[in-house]
Amino acid sequence: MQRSVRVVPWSPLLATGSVALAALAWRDRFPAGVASHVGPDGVVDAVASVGAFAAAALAVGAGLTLLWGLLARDVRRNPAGLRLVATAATGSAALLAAGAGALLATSLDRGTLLGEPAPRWLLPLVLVALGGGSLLGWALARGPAPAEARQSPPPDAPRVELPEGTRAVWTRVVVAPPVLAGAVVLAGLGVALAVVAGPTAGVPALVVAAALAPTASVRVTVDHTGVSARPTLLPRPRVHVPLTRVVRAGRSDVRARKLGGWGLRVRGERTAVLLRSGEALDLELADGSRFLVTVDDAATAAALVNTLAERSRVC
Amino acid sequence: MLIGIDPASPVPLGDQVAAAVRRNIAAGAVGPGDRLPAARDLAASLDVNVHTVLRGYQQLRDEGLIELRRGRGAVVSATATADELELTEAAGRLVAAARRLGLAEADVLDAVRRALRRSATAPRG
Repeated sequence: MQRSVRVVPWSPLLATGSVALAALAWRDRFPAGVASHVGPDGVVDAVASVGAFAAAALAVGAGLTLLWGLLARDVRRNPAGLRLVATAATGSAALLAAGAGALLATSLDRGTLLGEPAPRWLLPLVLVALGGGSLLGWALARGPAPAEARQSPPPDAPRVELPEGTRAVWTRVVVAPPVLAGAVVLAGLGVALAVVAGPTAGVPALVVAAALAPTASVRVTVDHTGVSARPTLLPRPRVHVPLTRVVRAGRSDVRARKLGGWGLRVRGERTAVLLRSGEALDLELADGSRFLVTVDDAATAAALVNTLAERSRVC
Repeated sequence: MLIGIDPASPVPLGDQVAAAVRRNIAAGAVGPGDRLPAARDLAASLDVNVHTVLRGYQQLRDEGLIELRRGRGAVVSATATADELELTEAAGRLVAAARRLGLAEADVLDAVRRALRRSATAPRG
């Protein structure tokens, strides 16, 4: 996994480099230049010279490679984070290869370009490439089975009293007021736009509001399978950390600003579900990474995690 | 909220679930308007049958502590405060005692009225 992850940030540069090379190799076959932009009406509305097109493609590829490389460095001790970076890197590479490649193919041997309709398959192709490329990165960065903790949590880690044979679950809902407010504002904006500027104008805002709303409230659960966090009203998406990976659980205070905002954050060795600043359940994992989720009464949750982890390893 | 059950205990598991939720309401871990976990999720977490959890939830609904609504799940009632819970528990103990003594409903209500009057005339007693 290590090797593939080291290669993956280079994929955007590889993709745009190939496109640039192809453009330069056939530079005599673009009499009208290369289409560089397609407007929302599906018509080519900007044209660049072959040289400028190749240079721009290379620059974008190099910029993305730098970005993914730096991000991968930041999360190098966090397998989940590396996997996300790999997914984004190959996804962006495929998107660039498909988009630039399609523009190049469209421009080949064309006398006029400006104002001509672009092929209809352009957008579907780009979307399919994005999806396929992302999946490829996700699969490439699939690590070995996550490291398992062999020993019980240290004796100084908090515990709950749980007589042998009893079963226990801890669960609590945490709400993110800013996200909720954002969803409400966006929904209002969507409705206002729909009324003022016609029904379709409000759709984007409403879609984002609908996507945002379920994540404003998350249920955190600790049970014999591990720790999970998912939207209160929906079964998915779900983040789940098996008990076998937990070295010790504790309670800590986090600042959303320090971790880069709200939502699912990956920073350094930490992966966090952040819905607000403050009290969080903090899990130290066997591979050296940490998983945090902001929730009230995290001390009780941590104590139950330690207790259940110990029980699963003793038996 | 922390919910623990003991499968080895003679107390039915549904009753244990209800008791655990009651304890959490009394302790303030969940309050009016809070949503309880879906019965299916709680059953999976505790490794029991979903009907066992539903029996516990129905018990809580009959006590007026939660509301069960199709599609909305179980929500803690507006009246389910620690005070209310104390009263419900005391009333439960009174009813249990009355049953044991074989008293009729009218006798029990009479006893309650007498007790109320006594505390009204002698607040310190």
